[in-house]
Amino acid sequence: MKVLIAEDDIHICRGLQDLLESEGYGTIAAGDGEQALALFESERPDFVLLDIMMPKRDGYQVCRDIRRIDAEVPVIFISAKSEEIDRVVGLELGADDFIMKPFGTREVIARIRAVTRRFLRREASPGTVQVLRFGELELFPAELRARRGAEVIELSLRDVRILTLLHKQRGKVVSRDELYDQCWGRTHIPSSRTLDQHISKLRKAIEADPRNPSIIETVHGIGYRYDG
Amino acid sequence: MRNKSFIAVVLIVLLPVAGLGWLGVRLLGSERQALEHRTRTLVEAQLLIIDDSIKAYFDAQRSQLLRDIKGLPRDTTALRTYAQSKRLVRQVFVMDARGERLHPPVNAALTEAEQRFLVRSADIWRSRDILYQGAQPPAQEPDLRKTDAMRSDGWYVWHWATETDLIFWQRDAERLIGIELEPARVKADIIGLLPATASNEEHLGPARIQLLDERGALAYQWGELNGGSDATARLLAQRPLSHPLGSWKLAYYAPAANGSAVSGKLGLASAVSALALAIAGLAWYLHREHTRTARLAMQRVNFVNQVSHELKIPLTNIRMYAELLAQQLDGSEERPRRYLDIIVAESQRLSRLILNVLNFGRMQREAVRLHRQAGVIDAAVASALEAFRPALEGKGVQISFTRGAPANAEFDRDALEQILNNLFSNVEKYGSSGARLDVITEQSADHTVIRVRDYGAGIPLRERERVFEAFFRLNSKLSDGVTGTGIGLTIARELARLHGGELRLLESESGAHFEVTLRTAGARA
Repeated sequence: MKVLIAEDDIHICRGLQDLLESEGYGTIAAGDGEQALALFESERPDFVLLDIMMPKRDGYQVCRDIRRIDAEVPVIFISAKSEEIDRVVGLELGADDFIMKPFGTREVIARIRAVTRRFLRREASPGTVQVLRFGELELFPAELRARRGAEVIELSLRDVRILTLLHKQRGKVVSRDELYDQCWGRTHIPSSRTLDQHISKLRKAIEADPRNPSIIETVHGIGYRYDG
Repeated sequence: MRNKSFIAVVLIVLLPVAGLGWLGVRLLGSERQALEHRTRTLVEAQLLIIDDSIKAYFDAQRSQLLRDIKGLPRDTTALRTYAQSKRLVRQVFVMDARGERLHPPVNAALTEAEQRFLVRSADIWRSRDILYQGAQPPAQEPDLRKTDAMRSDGWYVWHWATETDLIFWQRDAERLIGIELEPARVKADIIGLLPATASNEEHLGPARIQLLDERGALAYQWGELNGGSDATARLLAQRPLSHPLGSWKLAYYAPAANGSAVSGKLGLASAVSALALAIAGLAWYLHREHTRTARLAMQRVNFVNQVSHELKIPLTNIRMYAELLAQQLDGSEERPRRYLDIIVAESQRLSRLILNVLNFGRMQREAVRLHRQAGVIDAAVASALEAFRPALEGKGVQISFTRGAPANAEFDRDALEQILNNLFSNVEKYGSSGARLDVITEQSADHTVIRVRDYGAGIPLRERERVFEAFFRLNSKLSDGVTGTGIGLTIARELARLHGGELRLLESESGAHFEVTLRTAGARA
């Protein structure tokens, strides 16, 4: 999934890019309203994070223009203003959500996952709920959630991709390169450490016993495997 | 705000002016009464002077007539001659001790005038006592208050046709002599005594004085009303004349339009208007000063708001990068993780502070609005509590959360979070010595109650309500050296009230025990 981040503060912009990329999204960044609109037209992202106060064209105006091109694409406003008027105007323009500065990464992740779920539900064939089983663990890819008994586990888009790939090739070893390609993208060159760290965190989240993983098994020197 | 200004204007300008106007009208009223009283006294004095001159006239006539009677011969011819020779005398009569007529003569021919007199005076000849009765002087003349038997002379007045007839009589043991005066002459003499102008007092305005006879008919009048018509003239005073013309009256009239009262009202109106202008000017000045102060205060608030807004971007970066950095750490790097946790926690604290300042500014502008959305109160409480857990547990506070609000309810999550942040922040700052924090939630169909209790030093009884006042901070060893803006509880209470509820400080044996009530429609426990 590709996300357009339009934010004039370079550090916030890069931070959001890193945050979203760590969740498994591809990002494109714009530093002003005009650039944001141009990038939206050329790249057609899956959703947009839009700062309100931007040079050249403000977030409201960009949102209006985006809506003319695509009425469906989810838009999340980021704003340092939290006045009443912002919410009302934003909602009238068809914003899907608001993130108020200063924000925490958890809040951003929660809101982005919520928007992603809506997007994935819309993409999925209606009336069907896709469930992938990993023993006691049930994965609901479109929900970005897994369930073990009564416990609900929130997952990132990348987590779901990794698990879906392992499930699809169950019994086979999925090489590290393939995991990179499928889950990070060809252009992205993560370090070996990034992959290992990610798998380690994912295991903590989904494995009954992370020290003796039963879902994501390490195949030394090659990759990982699910023996379902 | 407009209502308050309006009330202030009413209090500052209208009330004093109305009060002064009322006082002025009362003062004017009593002044008019006093003036009227003084005028009346002056008028009465003036009428008394006139009456005195008429009385003096009759006294002079009495002396003259007594002298005349003394030297009066007894024979008919001489008596007739006397009566004809005196311009003031119309007729003379004499009766003996038994009341029998001696003159006009009984046995001789009577003149025409004597015959007319006898017709006029028939009552006297029937009973001479009426002479004495008619001569009864008014009671206020004690020197003349004698019994009929003692009196040797007097006036007798009676009315005949349109005339007032006056008889002066004098008696001794043998006879009674009476002299009838010529009414027209008497009247002419009296008119001659009257002053040419109605008023010789400069305090008194134009006036008209009337002399009224016994029938109330106008005998004479003098003085001008200066444009005031007779129909509207006011009767200021009237006075009966002294004896013997006691049935006659003097009446004093003044013009109806009371110039002094009108000018008094005008004067009062202009004085009150001037005062109103002065007070209005003062009120305007105060209002301008107030507006200027309010504008300055607003500029300061705006400045603080602006700065707070500006702080949001660096704060976002500090927090986001600290969190991103924390994500990069693996489990072995405990110390860097702790440092980053502190950076995150402190940036969150700064965020809360900024949110408080901005919300306080918004409350001052009455611009706070709630956004109710469906959610679970317990989840929101748990999340707010979680944010404080590291700081509270770091200070050795054991947290206990008893969940009782699990239903889906409509509420403003941000507002609730801010209320709880302020309460938890106070526990962290002032209540951590109690080493315990109890959070309890309860829910009914349309309300949710959240109790936050610590076991620290608590709040003294006398400060219980004041802690909710803006900028109030407890002055104690506990709060000394602890940072704070003094607006947290003010905002928390205001938000609870906006949420259809309340924030109260409950009584407790130890520590501070706050209770938040929120109207949470849709909650079904």
